[in-house]
Amino acid sequence: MSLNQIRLQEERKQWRKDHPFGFYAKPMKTADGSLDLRQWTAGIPGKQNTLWANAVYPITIEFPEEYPSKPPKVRFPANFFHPNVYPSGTVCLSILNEEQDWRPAITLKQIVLGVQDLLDTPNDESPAQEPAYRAYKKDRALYEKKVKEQAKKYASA
Amino acid sequence: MSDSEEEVPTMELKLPDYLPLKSELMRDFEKSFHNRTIPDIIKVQTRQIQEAAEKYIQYVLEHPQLDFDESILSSFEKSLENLIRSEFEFSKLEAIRKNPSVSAFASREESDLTLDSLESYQNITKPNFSDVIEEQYLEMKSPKYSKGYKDLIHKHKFYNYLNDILFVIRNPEDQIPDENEDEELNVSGGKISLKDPLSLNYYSDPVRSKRCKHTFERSNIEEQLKRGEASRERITHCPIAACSQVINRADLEADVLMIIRIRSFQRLHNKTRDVDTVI
Repeated sequence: MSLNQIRLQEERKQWRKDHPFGFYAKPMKTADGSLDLRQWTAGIPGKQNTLWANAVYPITIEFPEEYPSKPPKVRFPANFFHPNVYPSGTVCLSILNEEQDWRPAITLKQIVLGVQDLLDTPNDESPAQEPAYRAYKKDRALYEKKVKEQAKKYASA
Repeated sequence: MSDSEEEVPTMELKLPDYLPLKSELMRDFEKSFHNRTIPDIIKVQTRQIQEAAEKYIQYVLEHPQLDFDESILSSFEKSLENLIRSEFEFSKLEAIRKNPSVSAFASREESDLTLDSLESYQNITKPNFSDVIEEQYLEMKSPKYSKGYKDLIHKHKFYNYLNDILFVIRNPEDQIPDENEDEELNVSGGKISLKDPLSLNYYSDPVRSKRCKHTFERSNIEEQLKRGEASRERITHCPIAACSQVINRADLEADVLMIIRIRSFQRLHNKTRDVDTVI
């Protein structure tokens, strides 16, 4: 078995044994019903007492063949409203960038917690989309309104 | 009793408080305190015990079906401890010998105590040789000097290595307490992960980078090194998040303590499993 498969199986085991409150993460099913450990769906709860609260934001996590040498790609739905999310939904976060802070020992748990942190603390220095970045910098009222609308859309039951 | 006898002042016949040291006695002292063969014997014995212990550890490591015997390792440790203590005790004698107030006696040119010189010695109030020695010896018993022993034992690499091995055999998942730190602060040592951070599986051939002391499974870090060498930067960052060191092939060494942890952990685990099955 390759390091990639061994590691992903262990990540799944560890997640099932213990994971942060309010999150979920599971491998997707392939057409034939078996699990594809390289494609996961996950949910990131917005932190309490932030604009993002009371909602769980869906993401997909794609592990490349070179994982854990290379980082997984994390995506929100297309056109997700956040200054550091590309129009395609791809998250721009230094720990998910091979050229920046990605390290093979970073676990799935650390990744989803990193994404949760990013929600309410956008990074000024790496804008990834026009609407959310401009609103965040120039029209905070509009930004907050948009974020709250989005939270309603993904409201947790 | 005659009158003339009564006139002799009895005070005068008392031995003076200060007695000159006979030069032969000083030589005897030098000889017995300055014994070069003792440290040599200690050195040879320390080396022999260390070699025997190393051979034992190596043998058990090479034979995975064997378990480390705590009593054997403990006896190696005790023997070393005794030798280190002897070395320390001997260094105390050396320190007494070299102390200026003691060695000054060797150069003293004093006439022997005779009835003629008795009177002049009566007037000397210097401390005697034996008093100086005693004072020095008592000084050596003070806590200031017993710290010297602790320092000596902390500095002894192999002794500490044995100590660490014994600790991880008994507590395979616990952090080795740092003796240099305040003991009170050290009650709750963290757990040590016995899993490779790259595969998240238990180690079987753990290697450690000398630079940052991070441990990985050999085959998995080798893979990282190959990728690093093929990368644009031609370096391999340590895979641990927030570690700023790079990994070089030459810095990797077998992590013996981790190997022992894993073996002890598996042994303890199998034992509890056996008990479960029996019940």
